[in-house]
Amino acid sequence: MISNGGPDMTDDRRHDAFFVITSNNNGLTKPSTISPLLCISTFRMSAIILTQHTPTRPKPTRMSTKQLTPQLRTTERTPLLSASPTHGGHIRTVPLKESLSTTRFITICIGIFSANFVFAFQTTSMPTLMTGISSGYGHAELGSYLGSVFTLANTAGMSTSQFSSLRIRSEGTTDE
Amino acid sequence: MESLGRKVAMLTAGLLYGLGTILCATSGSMYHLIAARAVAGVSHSLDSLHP
Repeated sequence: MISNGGPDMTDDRRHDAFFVITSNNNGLTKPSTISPLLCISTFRMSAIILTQHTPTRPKPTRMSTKQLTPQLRTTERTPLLSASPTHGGHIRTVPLKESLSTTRFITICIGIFSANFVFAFQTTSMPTLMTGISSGYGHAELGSYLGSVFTLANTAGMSTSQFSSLRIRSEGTTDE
Repeated sequence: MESLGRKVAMLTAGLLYGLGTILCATSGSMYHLIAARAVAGVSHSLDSLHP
């Protein structure tokens, strides 16, 4: 479902792969998820978006397959990804740098940076402080549980979510 | 996560993580603190999933 590029993709194609949309079972399209590619291409996107002088950015418009069909009749100079409307089952849409406003982009960046900072800070501070905290509560022998319980609960939550997602997908497949 | 939707799942994860952090801060015993850390761990698992 994530439409990100593989490691063998070039830089431009990896950048374009972030802007594809996926098709669901009803034939409708929806934007792809915020993938880790956003973290990877954050600085490049910021350079592209912030340097563009576009006072009024156009609203995002989805291009249908019929609209993209003339692009199939291109020459060899045209990049492969832009010439194929269906690239691995995905349909291309307007590039994100034209549909995403600067305010929204900065908001997304702040959210990603703050979330990464909070998690990295607690990952660093807990091993340092857990002995003092557990000693303060009078149970120094339970200090290691502060880290292990977090990791175990994290793993259990991930497994539960993934199994539920797989079950939903399998039910949708059998209904078809 | 697919049944809830991406936005609802991430907002729920953020709220749960905040709740777990508050429970950690207000814990009165070691077992309370460990349970609060478990709540924070579950919420982080929801936040770190990308379908």
